[in-house]
Amino acid sequence: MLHQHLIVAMPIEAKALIPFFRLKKLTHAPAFEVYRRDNLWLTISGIGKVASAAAVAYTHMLAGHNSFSSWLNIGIAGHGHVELGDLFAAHKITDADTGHSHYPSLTFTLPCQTEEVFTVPKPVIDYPVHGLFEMEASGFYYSATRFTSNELVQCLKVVSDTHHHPIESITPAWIEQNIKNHLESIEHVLQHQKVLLEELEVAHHVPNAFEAIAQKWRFSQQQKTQLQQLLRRWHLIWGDTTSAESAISGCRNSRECLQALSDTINKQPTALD
Amino acid sequence: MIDTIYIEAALEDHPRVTGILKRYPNARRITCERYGEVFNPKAQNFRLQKKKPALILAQKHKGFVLPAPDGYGIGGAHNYYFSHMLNCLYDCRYCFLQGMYRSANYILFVNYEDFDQAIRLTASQHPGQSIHFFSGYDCDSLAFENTSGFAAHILPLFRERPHTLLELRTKSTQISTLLETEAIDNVVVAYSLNPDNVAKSLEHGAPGLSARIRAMLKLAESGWKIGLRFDPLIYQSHYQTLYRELFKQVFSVLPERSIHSVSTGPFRLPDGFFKKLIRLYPDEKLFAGPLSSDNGMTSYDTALEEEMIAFCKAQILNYIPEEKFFRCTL
Ligand code: SF4
Repeated sequence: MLHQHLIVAMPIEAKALIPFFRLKKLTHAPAFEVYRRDNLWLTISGIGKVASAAAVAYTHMLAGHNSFSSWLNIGIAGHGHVELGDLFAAHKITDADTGHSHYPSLTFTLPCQTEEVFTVPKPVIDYPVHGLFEMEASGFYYSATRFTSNELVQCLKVVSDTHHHPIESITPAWIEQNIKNHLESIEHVLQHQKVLLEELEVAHHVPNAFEAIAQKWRFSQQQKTQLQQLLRRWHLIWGDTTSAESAISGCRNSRECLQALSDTINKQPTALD
Repeated sequence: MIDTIYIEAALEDHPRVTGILKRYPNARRITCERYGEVFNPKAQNFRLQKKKPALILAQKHKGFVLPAPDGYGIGGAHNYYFSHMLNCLYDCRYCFLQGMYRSANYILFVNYEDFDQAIRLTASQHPGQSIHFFSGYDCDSLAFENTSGFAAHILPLFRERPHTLLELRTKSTQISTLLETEAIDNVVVAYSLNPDNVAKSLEHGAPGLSARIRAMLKLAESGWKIGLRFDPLIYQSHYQTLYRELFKQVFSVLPERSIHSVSTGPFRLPDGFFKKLIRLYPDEKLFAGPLSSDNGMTSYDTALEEEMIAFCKAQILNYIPEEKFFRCTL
């Protein structure tokens, strides 16, 4: 099953998203505040890259450490040279402490401009280089890419402070409203991440016959993987796996079953079209 | 269409980089220190990245010219290859690049002059002997030519070294560079060909068979030597009919005198690459076929492979003399 995750640092950022995505708070998540509706999750991490990394890992486990997940970090950031309230996606995330950079893959058309993001340990007020300054992205990205591939990990940042609009003037109401202003773009990114996830999920679909056959004999974990692969090949050749049952009717154990499936498949020529 | 271009910081003012950036005025430009930061991280999915690959403009530091693997060649005493680019504009499902690299982004090494120097040096090491250079081992030699201009850059080098031979391996119809250049006797434009249904179902994004045949014909009419690479041979129950038809189609239009060489090779991949391909494309029919592992390589079983090669060779020899035929045993 696929899961999509939103990670925000502050409750006020979440406040803009929770009603829009109709998320409900989970009562059994003590470490972080977690909200969910179906496959969409939102976790409030708290401020800082370590908190963000921990929230990603926690949510991943809570969601059942799924192989098909996407991750989206939404937050605010400062920038010395762009308009207040503008939305940017990160095309490079540099950790100011370590100097290490990450490069999210941009495999779909984004709804906004992109920019380099610098993750800093403390708020920056002088914006020393061109780019967005914030406090979570590098931790978020580092952690999320342990669990999924980088095409499925994005960061969106709303510009909350500039030379003309210093950091002290940001109010909770402003943050909430300015995240709300970009709900459509956030949804756009989620939708594109979902399309990618669905492609992977369909490609890795476990054929129907798997459960029934796996219960007939004792299969080791490795044999189960082999069985899945053979049934996928079977499905590709014959269009479904119902006929696999008859191919293994005379088998006495898991080894014979795998052999029978393999022999039948290998005798079958492939038609590509 | 390329939307994103990564540029190594040290190359920002390189004239070739400036020229390439002008071709993509709307692409986002991202600076990186070394291409490996973008290309090598573990958490990448080749299949997803292939939807919109980025271009990475980089500098190569070593290994400009390398000995070709054993079994790769068309009769040269010494065989070398070079890759000015990693990854390909096309997306052939059987391609080993998917197994080799984590990233589907294209790397273009812009320090062509270092390739020149390595080619010169290698060529000078084998005076009086036949020495073959293969371009397009880690990419398609011509598909990106409009942007890279690499073929245009190296052709003069080979014109000046008639004892060498250059093979430009391609499926591309981007041949204007070649058509605008006087044909060079020791340069072979080698087209990879498969039956039309294989091209349609497995060679995503590559020009169709007829377009390739038309391109070959134009090149032949301009005096270029053509190589025919029926490689990899793909098994289907009616493969004999399909390949017989393919050979008829190709040899009936291409004059024998313009054919430099013809080769065939089986579908083979190192086991590790094949496993990665299955993980990326578990829904691909090609991989559901009768393939098995032997000695670290996944391929059709030996009897089937031999049967296919023997059949194709016999058919091909109806059209060309045996000395022009080569079998790739990679
Ligand atoms: S044209 Fe060649 S290099 Fe390009 S994807 Fe196809 S097989 Fe690979």
